[in-house]
Amino acid sequence: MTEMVSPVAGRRTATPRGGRAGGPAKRGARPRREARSRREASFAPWAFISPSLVLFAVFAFAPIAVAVVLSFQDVQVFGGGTWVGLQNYQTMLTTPLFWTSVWNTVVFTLGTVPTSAAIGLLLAVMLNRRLPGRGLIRSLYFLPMVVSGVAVSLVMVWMFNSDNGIVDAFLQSIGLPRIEWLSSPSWAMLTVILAVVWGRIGFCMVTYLAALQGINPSLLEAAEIDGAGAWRRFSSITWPLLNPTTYLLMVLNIVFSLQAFDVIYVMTGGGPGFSTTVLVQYIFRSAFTDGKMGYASAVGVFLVVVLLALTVIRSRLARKSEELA
Amino acid sequence: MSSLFSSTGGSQPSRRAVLRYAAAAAGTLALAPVLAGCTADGAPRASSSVGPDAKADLVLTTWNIAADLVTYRKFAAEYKKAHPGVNIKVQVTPNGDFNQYLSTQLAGGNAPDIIRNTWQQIGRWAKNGGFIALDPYLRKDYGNGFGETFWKAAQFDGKVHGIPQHTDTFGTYYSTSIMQQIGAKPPADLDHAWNWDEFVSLAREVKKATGKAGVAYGFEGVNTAYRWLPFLYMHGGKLMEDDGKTPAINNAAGIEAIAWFQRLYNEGLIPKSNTIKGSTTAAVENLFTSGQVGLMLWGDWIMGDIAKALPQEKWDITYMPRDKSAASDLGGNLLSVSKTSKNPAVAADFIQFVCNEKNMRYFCEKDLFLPVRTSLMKEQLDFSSQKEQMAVFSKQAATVPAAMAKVETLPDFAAINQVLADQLDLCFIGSQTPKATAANIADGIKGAGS
Repeated sequence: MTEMVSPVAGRRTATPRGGRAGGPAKRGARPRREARSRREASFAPWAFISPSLVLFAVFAFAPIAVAVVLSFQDVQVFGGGTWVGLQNYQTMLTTPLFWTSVWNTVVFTLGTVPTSAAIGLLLAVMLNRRLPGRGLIRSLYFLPMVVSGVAVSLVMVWMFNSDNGIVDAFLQSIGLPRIEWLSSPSWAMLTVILAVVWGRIGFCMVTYLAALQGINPSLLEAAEIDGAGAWRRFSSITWPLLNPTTYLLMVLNIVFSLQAFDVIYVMTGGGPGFSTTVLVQYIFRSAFTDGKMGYASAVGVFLVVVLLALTVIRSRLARKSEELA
Repeated sequence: MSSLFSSTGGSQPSRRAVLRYAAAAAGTLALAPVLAGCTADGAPRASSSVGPDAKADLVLTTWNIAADLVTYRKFAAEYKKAHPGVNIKVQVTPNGDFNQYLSTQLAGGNAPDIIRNTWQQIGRWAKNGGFIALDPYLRKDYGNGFGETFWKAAQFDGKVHGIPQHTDTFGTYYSTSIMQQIGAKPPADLDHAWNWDEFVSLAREVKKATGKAGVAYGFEGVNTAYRWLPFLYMHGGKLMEDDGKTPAINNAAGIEAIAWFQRLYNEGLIPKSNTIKGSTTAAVENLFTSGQVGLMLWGDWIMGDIAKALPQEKWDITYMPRDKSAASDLGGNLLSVSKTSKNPAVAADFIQFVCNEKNMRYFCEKDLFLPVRTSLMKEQLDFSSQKEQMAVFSKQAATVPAAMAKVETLPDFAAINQVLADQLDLCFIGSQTPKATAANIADGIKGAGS
């Protein structure tokens, strides 16, 4: 029965009719086993990915699809909406605050992504050597990654408070002037970048550390025997071999930065003025303060498109890099 | 200027009117238990819609104020005595995220049954259907026992969407030692409250004494931008015309009021860390309790925190500064029933129980709030602590401008408040002139209507 249903089995059962020799009972068992094996082979991957596929469908794909539909509607906090076509996108492109938030997001991303990766790499190289208390130091650097972003932000608010913060107190103790870290539009973005970088370097460090430990030491030893110095060994062997990791960190960090919300929400509320209002915060206020869910969805769709575009670009660059290598 | 307690205009009432009012108030007091749907001793009695055999599991959500949680749980237990089948769970609303919290829960169909909300929030949720109209569960004359403006503010499209539970307002906290040090004497009554010039001079002296700044202001983030409005109204300005649509801030009065407040920041009298978006509750309280400022304009509800941090002899309360008239912040809460409640009749009955005269008195006296029932408003309540300070706040509450209260309860006020937060924050940090700020607020209000 099963063989009749399966196209693969059908091909197999057709073969004996072509006049091939052999006992039908013995020969029939093998194709059945092969057919079962093939069925299992085709079924197994789906069985493995289906739980996560279901989760993605429910919690990622479906909300994205709903957001796309909402972005073409004028919809308030809840209840039905009215179809407005591209009006939300038109409003988005002509709203100065949208472009301010885009610019702030770019600045924030440029400030956080290379910095956290560079410091993470530096720490990873240092901690890849034999050091007393190396495990403890690694754990300490990784600690901010496992602490809640909101908790970190609250501590940062106190540290960078320009009236009684510990950072300004330290600056004054060494004869430097106080800085209005969070209350000056010029300094606020730098302050949130510092807070985010501090929280992210542990993740970059651990990722680089894993990659460094995957490099075959004989390559470095051979280079050393050939007279290559420390910098040459790093720049000509270690760094190229870390390329895939660097790409991975770049993509992940860009995604993290484009989606940044909690730290900024707690530390500055998007201010002073609009100096730290980034895209996700703009989406949040459009949705929950202004009650414009349709418009907020349009900005959200814009963000998804940007993220997809960056992912495609990264993927192509990675492929080119591998081809060159 | 008319106030919340007197919505009939600024004229002084005649002796006959006062006597008439007193008689009415006395009558209201006598009738209050009946009006409020409870027995004379305040115990709940079954209303026509909710019998003693009613069964329901309700959730009430409130701010995270420890004393209030205790009191709501007490009310829930008392209600359960009369309605054994009704269980009421008291839950905490996450601070500062009310709109997000309620939007998602209502959209998901699992919002709490009873929601404690503010005057600034109710309009939006009444308009979008998040809160149900309570009229089917109230007697026709139920609102007679409440201050007129409070009761009006609880209505949208002529229907009641929340029952007022209490009000609160701003006063001036001051450090007694700094006042002594600079030889300043806080005003003893409202009529002698510091005027704007006196207040600026005082703040400068206080700044010299602290060596840091003079004044802290009760901003607690974007959602509290409206707390600047009393300064606009005390200067004779207004945010919007009586139609509730047309902006009215872009004129001399509006620009002057913004400029005066900006000056407090420009001169470092209020620290820049205390602008609207950058302020947090703890950080602002800390400015005062750590002695970095000697004056703080904020509400009665934080007195508990201040009292914990400083002994009473170190601080006291006086009236808000005044200009052409006195004015103060509109604070306070209502209780509403969400559209997703499966037992709206029981929920509505419980909030009437919480807001009956006996329980309102208990809530205000124990947790230091001001009542909104007319019978209690004219009385000096026996507050559990800070009696003298609460007396100041009680008098100050009478200066909340009715026109300001009307604006703050508009359905679109959340969006208007965001405009205020954006533009005033830019101005107070020195990135925008008062003139441009007034113009931008006016433009923003025009675009804020949904």
